[in-house]
Amino acid sequence: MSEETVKIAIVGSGPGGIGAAVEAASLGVSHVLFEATEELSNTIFRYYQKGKYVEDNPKEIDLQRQLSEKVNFVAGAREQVLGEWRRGIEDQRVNVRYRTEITAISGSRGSFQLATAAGETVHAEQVVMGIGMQGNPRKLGVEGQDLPFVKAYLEDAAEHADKTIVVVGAGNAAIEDAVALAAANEVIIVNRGNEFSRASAKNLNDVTRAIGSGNMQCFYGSSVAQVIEADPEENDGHPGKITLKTPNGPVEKPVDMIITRIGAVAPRKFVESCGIEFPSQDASAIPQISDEYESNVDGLYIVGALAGYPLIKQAMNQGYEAVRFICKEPVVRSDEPLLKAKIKAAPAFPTVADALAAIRNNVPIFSEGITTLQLRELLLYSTLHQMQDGEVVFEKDDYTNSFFSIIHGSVGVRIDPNDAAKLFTIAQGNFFGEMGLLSGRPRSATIVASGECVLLETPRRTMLKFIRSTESLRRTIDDRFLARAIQTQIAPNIGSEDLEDLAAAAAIRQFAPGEYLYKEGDEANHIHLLRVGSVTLSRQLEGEEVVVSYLPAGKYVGEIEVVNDIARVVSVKATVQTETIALPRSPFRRLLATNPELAASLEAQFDDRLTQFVRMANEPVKGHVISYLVDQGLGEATNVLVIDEGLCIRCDFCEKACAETHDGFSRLNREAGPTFASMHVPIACRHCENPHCMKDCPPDAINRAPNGEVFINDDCIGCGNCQANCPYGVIQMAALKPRRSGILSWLLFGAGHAPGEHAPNRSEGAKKKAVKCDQCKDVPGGPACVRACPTGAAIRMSPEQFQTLKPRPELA
Amino acid sequence: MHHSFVSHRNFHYFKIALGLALLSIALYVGHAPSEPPNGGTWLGYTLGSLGAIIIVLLLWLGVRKRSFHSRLGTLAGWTSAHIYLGAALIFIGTLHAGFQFGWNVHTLAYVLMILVIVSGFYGVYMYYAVPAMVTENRQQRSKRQMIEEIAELDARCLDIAEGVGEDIHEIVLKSVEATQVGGSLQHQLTLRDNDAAKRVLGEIQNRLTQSIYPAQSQRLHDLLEALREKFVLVDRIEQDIRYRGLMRIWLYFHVPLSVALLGALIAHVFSVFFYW
Repeated sequence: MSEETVKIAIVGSGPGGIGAAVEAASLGVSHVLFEATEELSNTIFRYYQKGKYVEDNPKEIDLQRQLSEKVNFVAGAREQVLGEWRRGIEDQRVNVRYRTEITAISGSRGSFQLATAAGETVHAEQVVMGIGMQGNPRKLGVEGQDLPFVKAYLEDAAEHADKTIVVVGAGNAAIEDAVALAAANEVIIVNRGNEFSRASAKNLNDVTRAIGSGNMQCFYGSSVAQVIEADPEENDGHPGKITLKTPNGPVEKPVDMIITRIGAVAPRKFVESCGIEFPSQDASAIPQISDEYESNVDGLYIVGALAGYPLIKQAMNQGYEAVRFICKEPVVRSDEPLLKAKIKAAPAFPTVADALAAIRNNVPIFSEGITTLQLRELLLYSTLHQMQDGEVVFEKDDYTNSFFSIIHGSVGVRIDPNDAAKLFTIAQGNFFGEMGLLSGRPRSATIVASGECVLLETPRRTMLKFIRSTESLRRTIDDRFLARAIQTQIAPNIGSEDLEDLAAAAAIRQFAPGEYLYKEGDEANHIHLLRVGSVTLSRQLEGEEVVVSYLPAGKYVGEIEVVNDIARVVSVKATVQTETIALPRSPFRRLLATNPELAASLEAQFDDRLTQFVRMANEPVKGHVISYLVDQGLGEATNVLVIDEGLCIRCDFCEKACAETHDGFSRLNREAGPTFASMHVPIACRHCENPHCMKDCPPDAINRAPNGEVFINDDCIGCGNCQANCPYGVIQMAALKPRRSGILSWLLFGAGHAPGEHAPNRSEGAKKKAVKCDQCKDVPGGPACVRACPTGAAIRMSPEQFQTLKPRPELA
Repeated sequence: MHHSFVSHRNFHYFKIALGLALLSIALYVGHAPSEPPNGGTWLGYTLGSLGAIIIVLLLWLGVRKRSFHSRLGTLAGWTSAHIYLGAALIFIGTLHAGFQFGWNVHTLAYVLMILVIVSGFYGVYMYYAVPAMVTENRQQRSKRQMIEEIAELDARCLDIAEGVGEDIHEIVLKSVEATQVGGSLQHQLTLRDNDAAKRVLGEIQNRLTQSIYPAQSQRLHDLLEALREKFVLVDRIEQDIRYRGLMRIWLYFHVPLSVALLGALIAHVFSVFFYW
């Protein structure tokens, strides 16, 4: 039993604890740093592989300069990083107590008691808790999660060879393990999402390269359904069997080892026993902390991962800052200069604090369940816009995908493309552009500033990360998504209050490619707002299913039957993985009863739709063409090159024009690809809704222009990932070719190569880059292939326009 | 959106051409010159200038279609204008001449113009009729695929033939070596009976009829099937070559005649202004 009282007790010697302890020691404050094991930063020591390269993200932020002079952190091998920390701790004469696990903390500011596992009690005026979460890995949550071959970390990849290993997770830790193991083992990585959005640039590069080259297999959009023990003799010599739930159905694999790198959760029991509250029961919830890292327990500070900051540099800075706050020393936050630069764009906010306060006070989604620190981070990656009345935020059909929040003022949504004055107002505190977070479809409406307003524009990736890391925000946003989707798509003139009933009953539904949302003759129970993917509408005609329409994300189906109280008049089928917001019938009908205007406008559409159905049904070949095009994967396209072979004289001018426009290399193959009823789909980019090629581009060189073209910029490093990822084979790796001489000098004097003629490479071994159609975004006048077609056979169109095609039934 | 060169922009150039032709006729009918109608009256000069401008514009298509960077309309638009304005030239040119013909360079230019236009009509018909036939003939295969398939079938035939007997193998091998498509211009543009193929099939058919061993019969039957399949493919490629030739051959008249027309036109204009 010891009677000493220190000013600051620091629990955990991870990066946060080290930052705090070094600063406390250098300030000459009485302190003690507790480490449960005999190594500093034990989780890094144990769970990081030998020689692992430790990155110093986020790059934008520096380690606090004063701290870096005492204990530095730069990217490097695990051993170097740990060595530097050891040196700093020794140089600053930090009072470290190894092998001292803290089992309980009680009391509050001025009188904390910390109980050790050995039964000792230490008294402290303040406590800095830097225990992180790594010591408490998240489990799979399925049957078999505790089997011996399911592990939470990998010590040394070199110990494993010729095994089948499944790595679950898509974060940096998962990628690093998978890449290290892939050298000598068959590795399968299971990614719940469709991209590696949380990975650092280096890891993203590594993993996509490994997948692209076939060195590693990846299941996107998949999760673990079950793990079972198996008899090795009946299981190709493997001790276990894993079942994955994938978008294409369940997949079973015999395995030797499963590594679950799906993050860690707060050691909740211990933290709660200290009096710290969690905002929710969610497994991923983290304690809320103040601006100065103080928890709800007076005098108890939390830094690092447990406070939501999993990166080393952030944790060190926070430890340092927390100690300075405790000691009432001046603190300039590490992100302060960056934020100052950000707010210059909005003169309405003179200081960073003003801007943060305005965001918090004015925007409800950012006011509850979000710490100021998170808000600072959000602002760091976002852009502020101060706009004047009438200024356009984005145009309808732009393909930008950022998320906007209205901090001050309001914006107007142009309801009628032909009448700029018809506006539907989105008031202060709301957000817009949320469809961009879900679907790569173009913006559904033009947004203009009404009066002076201040907007916060958050990039898609930042917003997704933010939503993912904040469970409560995720729900708020999901709920508001629903309400907003209903409001913008169906009922622009109805207030949010009137929609509450409906929004509460709405549910998100997923449909696999080819799955029916409903069939003709079914009872009409829902209206579906399409939020990802697309659908075809079809009717039964003389025993045959005939497609009568195609609708992409952003539209809705099923209202006709619900409004008119009839059975389904069409069958609706998902063309690709599709997500809808299903609005149940009764609350919708209640809404209609109270809003005759809405009922009238929906009934007006009824006639139009039915007329179209009947027209299409009379020309079944048109419907067949739509289903054929959708079968070619065009359901996820936003802009397609279709060639009418009934007009195509096979002159290949489309290819020649393409090559002429793009460094001598044609990005389309006219002859290849299928044809139906004279409608030919050549091999050319169809600019997918959610481009497969964009998934894993290490230098982030594949972009989407505001008008929708997916294009590759000059940053391309030639890795070939996009080529491997494109299911339609439209990306080629090509060495660029020289420009040729003018047409008249060729025509009159025979100089150089003929326009469109094949020319030799600029030089042998020229660097290859990925090339694909960019819809001639830099060429005035539009796509060269279409402009160069002498007969009008080449057509570029969006899938909604398929029904305007004039197929030749005799060629069906 | 989906419009051919014929209906381009809702028959925009057809309407213009029709307007020009009707206007020419109306002016010609209402025109009462002191001398018989000819290229020397004010109307003659007007129609002549108009015609010359149109001819140059139509010739420019050859340049425009190779100017892939050009922003001057779409090529389909140019083709559409080319056809309709070209047709209108029949009226403009004839009325310009005032139906006066003789054995001179002026009439030569006129005759060349008419020949160019007629060959152009033939081209339009080809562009209208042939593309769909190409698609139908291809049966969803590219030419390369067809050639690869033929190579596979050849290999299979030789394989089977080897099991049948040396003489049959010899026949098949000769047939494989003799397979060729395309050839001279006449060959490309006409379809002929493939006598060699018929002979080979006939010989093997004979063998099959005579064969008394079931295993041998089966092999001969398989060989026949494979050979027939191959010859059908060869015919399809020949047909494809023919179609492509048909879509192109007329240009070998149309373009040189156009150039000749340009020469005659220059001579015509030159002589009119300097020697009249």
